[in-house]
Amino acid sequence: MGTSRAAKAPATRRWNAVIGTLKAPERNANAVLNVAFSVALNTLPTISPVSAPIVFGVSEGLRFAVDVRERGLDSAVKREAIRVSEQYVVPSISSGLWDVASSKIDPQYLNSPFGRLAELAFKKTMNQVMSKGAEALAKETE
Amino acid sequence: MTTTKADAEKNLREFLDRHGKDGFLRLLLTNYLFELAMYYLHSEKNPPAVKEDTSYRFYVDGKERVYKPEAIERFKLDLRKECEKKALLIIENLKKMQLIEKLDTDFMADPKVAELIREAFESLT
Repeated sequence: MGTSRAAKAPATRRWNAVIGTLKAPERNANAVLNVAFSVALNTLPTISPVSAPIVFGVSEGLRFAVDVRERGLDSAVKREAIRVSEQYVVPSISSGLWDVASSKIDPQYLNSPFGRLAELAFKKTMNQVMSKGAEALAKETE
Repeated sequence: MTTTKADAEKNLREFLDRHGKDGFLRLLLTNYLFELAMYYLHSEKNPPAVKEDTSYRFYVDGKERVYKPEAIERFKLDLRKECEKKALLIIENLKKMQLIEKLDTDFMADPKVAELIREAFESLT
Protein backbone atom coordinates (compact mmCIF):
# COMPACT_ATOMS: atom_id res chain seq x y z
CA MET A 1 0.00 0.00 0.00
CA GLY A 2 1.43 3.33 -1.01
CA THR A 3 1.76 6.23 1.40
CA SER A 4 2.61 8.92 -1.15
CA ARG A 5 0.78 12.23 -0.69
CA ALA A 6 1.74 13.51 -4.13
CA ALA A 7 -1.03 14.53 -6.48
CA LYS A 8 -1.58 12.53 -9.64
CA ALA A 9 -0.41 14.01 -12.91
CA PRO A 10 -3.17 15.54 -15.05
CA ALA A 11 -4.99 12.71 -16.82
CA THR A 12 -3.84 13.56 -20.31
CA ARG A 13 -1.18 12.12 -22.58
CA ARG A 14 -0.03 15.68 -23.19
CA TRP A 15 1.54 15.57 -19.70
CA ASN A 16 4.21 13.27 -21.12
CA ALA A 17 5.60 16.35 -22.89
CA VAL A 18 6.37 17.81 -19.45
CA ILE A 19 8.23 14.65 -18.49
CA GLY A 20 10.06 14.96 -21.81
CA THR A 21 11.24 18.48 -20.95
CA LEU A 22 12.45 17.20 -17.56
CA LYS A 23 14.34 14.35 -19.25
CA ALA A 24 16.05 16.62 -21.78
CA PRO A 25 19.88 16.51 -21.55
CA GLU A 26 20.00 20.28 -20.88
CA ARG A 27 16.70 20.79 -19.10
CA ASN A 28 15.44 24.30 -19.33
CA ALA A 29 13.27 25.89 -16.63
CA ASN A 30 11.47 28.13 -19.10
CA ALA A 31 10.44 25.17 -21.28
CA VAL A 32 9.50 22.99 -18.31
CA LEU A 33 7.33 25.68 -16.75
CA ASN A 34 5.64 26.77 -19.97
CA VAL A 35 4.69 23.23 -20.96
CA ALA A 36 3.66 22.25 -17.40
CA PHE A 37 1.38 25.25 -16.85
CA SER A 38 -0.04 25.09 -20.35
CA VAL A 39 -0.94 21.39 -20.15
CA ALA A 40 -2.07 21.38 -16.52
CA LEU A 41 -4.19 24.51 -16.61
CA ASN A 42 -5.81 23.59 -19.92
CA THR A 43 -7.16 20.44 -18.31
CA LEU A 44 -9.23 22.63 -15.96
CA PRO A 45 -12.67 23.81 -17.15
CA THR A 46 -11.75 27.36 -16.08
CA ILE A 47 -8.76 29.08 -14.51
CA SER A 48 -10.88 30.46 -11.64
CA PRO A 49 -9.88 27.76 -9.12
CA VAL A 50 -6.25 28.80 -9.69
CA SER A 51 -6.75 32.57 -9.65
CA ALA A 52 -9.48 33.12 -7.05
CA PRO A 53 -7.80 31.94 -3.81
CA ILE A 54 -4.59 33.88 -4.35
CA VAL A 55 -6.41 37.03 -5.44
CA PHE A 56 -8.30 37.08 -2.14
CA GLY A 57 -4.91 36.74 -0.45
CA VAL A 58 -3.55 39.65 -2.49
CA SER A 59 -6.51 41.77 -1.47
CA GLU A 60 -6.24 40.96 2.24
CA GLY A 61 -2.46 41.31 2.35
CA LEU A 62 -2.45 44.64 0.56
CA ARG A 63 -5.29 46.05 2.62
CA PHE A 64 -3.48 45.10 5.80
CA ALA A 65 -0.13 46.49 4.62
CA VAL A 66 -1.69 49.82 3.63
CA ASP A 67 -3.57 49.94 6.92
CA VAL A 68 -0.36 49.36 8.88
CA ARG A 69 1.34 52.17 6.96
CA GLU A 70 -1.52 54.57 7.60
CA ARG A 71 -2.65 53.66 11.13
CA GLY A 72 0.03 51.46 12.63
CA LEU A 73 0.19 47.73 13.36
CA ASP A 74 -1.82 47.73 16.60
CA SER A 75 -4.74 49.47 14.95
CA ALA A 76 -4.55 47.24 11.84
CA VAL A 77 -4.61 43.96 13.80
CA LYS A 78 -7.45 45.29 15.95
CA ARG A 79 -9.52 46.14 12.85
CA GLU A 80 -9.05 42.60 11.51
CA ALA A 81 -9.66 41.08 14.98
CA ILE A 82 -6.37 39.18 14.81
CA ARG A 83 -4.96 37.67 17.99
CA VAL A 84 -1.21 38.30 18.03
CA SER A 85 1.04 35.88 19.91
CA GLU A 86 3.77 37.68 21.86
CA GLN A 87 6.16 34.81 21.15
CA TYR A 88 5.30 34.30 17.47
CA VAL A 89 4.29 37.77 16.32
CA VAL A 90 4.82 37.40 12.57
CA PRO A 91 3.40 33.88 12.02
CA SER A 92 0.38 34.65 14.18
CA ILE A 93 -0.43 37.77 12.14
CA SER A 94 0.05 35.90 8.84
CA SER A 95 -2.15 33.08 10.03
CA GLY A 96 -4.84 35.46 11.30
CA LEU A 97 -4.84 37.36 8.02
CA TRP A 98 -5.26 34.15 6.03
CA ASP A 99 -8.22 33.25 8.23
CA VAL A 100 -9.81 36.58 7.28
CA ALA A 101 -9.05 36.10 3.56
CA SER A 102 -10.20 32.48 3.53
CA SER A 103 -13.57 33.37 5.07
CA LYS A 104 -14.34 35.19 1.79
CA ILE A 105 -13.24 32.41 -0.56
CA ASP A 106 -15.70 29.97 -2.07
CA PRO A 107 -15.15 26.76 -0.03
CA GLN A 108 -14.82 24.65 -3.18
CA TYR A 109 -11.79 26.77 -4.15
CA LEU A 110 -10.46 27.12 -0.60
CA ASN A 111 -10.46 23.36 0.01
CA SER A 112 -8.88 22.57 -3.36
CA PRO A 113 -5.13 22.02 -3.84
CA PHE A 114 -4.96 25.58 -5.19
CA GLY A 115 -6.49 26.92 -1.99
CA ARG A 116 -3.82 25.13 0.04
CA LEU A 117 -1.04 26.39 -2.26
CA ALA A 118 -2.42 29.93 -2.00
CA GLU A 119 -2.40 29.63 1.81
CA LEU A 120 1.24 28.49 1.80
CA ALA A 121 2.30 31.29 -0.55
CA PHE A 122 0.31 33.92 1.35
CA LYS A 123 1.74 33.03 4.76
CA LYS A 124 5.26 32.75 3.35
CA THR A 125 4.96 36.18 1.70
CA MET A 126 3.58 37.91 4.79
CA ASN A 127 6.27 36.27 6.94
CA GLN A 128 8.98 37.42 4.52
CA VAL A 129 7.72 40.99 4.33
CA MET A 130 7.21 41.39 8.08
CA SER A 131 10.51 39.78 9.05
CA LYS A 132 12.82 41.02 6.26
CA GLY A 133 11.30 44.33 5.14
CA ALA A 134 12.44 45.63 1.73
CA GLU A 135 15.06 42.88 1.57
CA ALA A 136 12.28 40.29 1.17
CA LEU A 137 11.97 41.08 -2.52
CA ALA A 138 15.65 41.76 -3.16
CA LYS A 139 16.71 38.44 -1.60
CA GLU A 140 14.11 36.41 -3.47
CA THR A 141 15.07 37.81 -6.86
CA GLU A 142 18.86 37.56 -6.57
CA MET B 1 15.83 36.41 17.14
CA THR B 2 12.07 36.90 17.35
CA THR B 3 10.54 39.73 15.36
CA THR B 4 8.63 42.11 17.62
CA LYS B 5 5.47 43.99 16.67
CA ALA B 6 7.54 47.15 16.27
CA ASP B 7 9.94 45.33 13.91
CA ALA B 8 7.07 43.88 11.89
CA GLU B 9 5.52 47.33 11.52
CA LYS B 10 8.83 48.91 10.49
CA ASN B 11 9.51 46.12 7.99
CA LEU B 12 6.06 46.36 6.41
CA ARG B 13 6.36 50.13 6.01
CA GLU B 14 9.87 49.79 4.59
CA PHE B 15 8.72 47.17 2.08
CA LEU B 16 5.78 49.26 0.85
CA ASP B 17 7.87 52.45 0.69
CA ARG B 18 10.59 50.75 -1.35
CA HIS B 19 8.56 48.39 -3.57
CA GLY B 20 4.97 49.65 -3.41
CA LYS B 21 1.85 47.57 -4.04
CA ASP B 22 3.43 46.20 -7.23
CA GLY B 23 6.29 44.75 -5.20
CA PHE B 24 3.93 43.02 -2.80
CA LEU B 25 1.98 41.58 -5.71
CA ARG B 26 5.20 40.48 -7.43
CA LEU B 27 6.44 38.63 -4.35
CA LEU B 28 3.11 36.98 -3.53
CA LEU B 29 2.37 35.88 -7.10
CA THR B 30 5.91 34.59 -7.57
CA ASN B 31 5.64 32.57 -4.35
CA TYR B 32 2.27 31.21 -5.45
CA LEU B 33 3.34 30.28 -8.98
CA PHE B 34 6.43 28.58 -7.58
CA GLU B 35 4.26 26.50 -5.19
CA LEU B 36 2.00 25.68 -8.14
CA ALA B 37 4.97 24.60 -10.26
CA MET B 38 6.38 22.42 -7.48
CA TYR B 39 2.95 20.85 -6.95
CA TYR B 40 2.64 19.78 -10.58
CA LEU B 41 6.31 18.86 -11.02
CA HIS B 42 6.10 16.50 -8.03
CA SER B 43 3.05 14.65 -9.28
CA GLU B 44 2.85 10.90 -9.60
CA LYS B 45 1.89 8.73 -12.57
CA ASN B 46 -1.70 8.63 -13.71
CA PRO B 47 -2.12 5.59 -15.98
CA PRO B 48 -3.06 4.98 -18.69
CA ALA B 49 -2.30 8.53 -19.88
CA VAL B 50 0.83 9.15 -17.78
CA LYS B 51 2.92 6.10 -16.92
CA GLU B 52 5.88 7.80 -15.24
CA ASP B 53 6.21 9.76 -11.99
CA THR B 54 6.99 13.40 -12.76
CA SER B 55 8.54 13.72 -9.28
CA TYR B 56 11.07 11.01 -10.21
CA ARG B 57 12.11 12.91 -13.32
CA PHE B 58 12.56 16.04 -11.25
CA TYR B 59 15.48 14.37 -9.47
CA VAL B 60 16.73 11.76 -12.00
CA ASP B 61 17.82 12.61 -15.55
CA GLY B 62 17.00 10.83 -18.81
CA LYS B 63 20.04 8.56 -18.39
CA GLU B 64 18.93 7.47 -14.91
CA ARG B 65 21.57 9.52 -13.12
CA VAL B 66 20.50 11.33 -9.94
CA TYR B 67 21.02 15.09 -10.19
CA LYS B 68 23.48 16.52 -7.68
CA PRO B 69 21.83 18.57 -4.90
CA GLU B 70 23.46 21.76 -6.27
CA ALA B 71 21.98 21.11 -9.72
CA ILE B 72 18.53 20.58 -8.21
CA GLU B 73 18.79 23.79 -6.19
CA ARG B 74 19.96 25.69 -9.29
CA PHE B 75 17.04 24.31 -11.29
CA LYS B 76 14.60 25.37 -8.56
CA LEU B 77 16.11 28.85 -8.61
CA ASP B 78 15.72 28.97 -12.41
CA LEU B 79 12.11 27.84 -12.06
CA ARG B 80 11.52 30.56 -9.50
CA LYS B 81 12.92 33.19 -11.87
CA GLU B 82 10.58 31.94 -14.60
CA CYS B 83 7.68 32.13 -12.12
CA GLU B 84 8.62 35.72 -11.41
CA LYS B 85 8.49 36.52 -15.14
CA LYS B 86 4.99 35.07 -15.27
CA ALA B 87 4.01 37.04 -12.16
CA LEU B 88 5.18 40.22 -13.89
CA LEU B 89 3.07 39.34 -16.95
CA ILE B 90 -0.01 38.97 -14.75
CA ILE B 91 0.76 42.33 -13.09
CA GLU B 92 1.08 43.93 -16.55
CA ASN B 93 -2.32 42.54 -17.46
CA LEU B 94 -3.84 43.85 -14.22
CA LYS B 95 -2.35 47.28 -14.94
CA LYS B 96 -3.79 47.33 -18.47
CA MET B 97 -7.18 46.51 -16.94
CA GLN B 98 -6.68 49.30 -14.38
CA LEU B 99 -7.21 46.83 -11.54
CA ILE B 100 -4.04 47.43 -9.52
CA GLU B 101 -5.59 50.28 -7.54
CA LYS B 102 -8.65 48.19 -6.71
CA LEU B 103 -6.72 45.23 -5.33
CA ASP B 104 -6.93 46.31 -1.69
CA THR B 105 -10.71 46.65 -1.85
CA ASP B 106 -13.47 44.01 -1.90
CA PHE B 107 -13.33 44.02 -5.69
CA MET B 108 -14.07 40.30 -6.15
CA ALA B 109 -17.69 40.96 -5.22
CA ASP B 110 -18.08 42.58 -8.65
CA PRO B 111 -18.57 39.78 -11.22
CA LYS B 112 -17.13 41.95 -14.03
CA VAL B 113 -13.94 42.48 -12.05
CA ALA B 114 -13.76 38.79 -11.16
CA GLU B 115 -13.97 38.03 -14.90
CA LEU B 116 -11.11 40.46 -15.64
CA ILE B 117 -8.99 38.80 -12.95
CA ARG B 118 -9.56 35.46 -14.66
CA GLU B 119 -8.44 37.01 -17.94
CA ALA B 120 -5.32 38.41 -16.31
CA PHE B 121 -4.32 34.88 -15.27
CA GLU B 122 -4.94 33.44 -18.75
CA SER B 123 -1.36 34.37 -19.66
CA LEU B 124 -0.30 31.33 -17.60
CA THR B 125 -1.78 28.98 -20.17
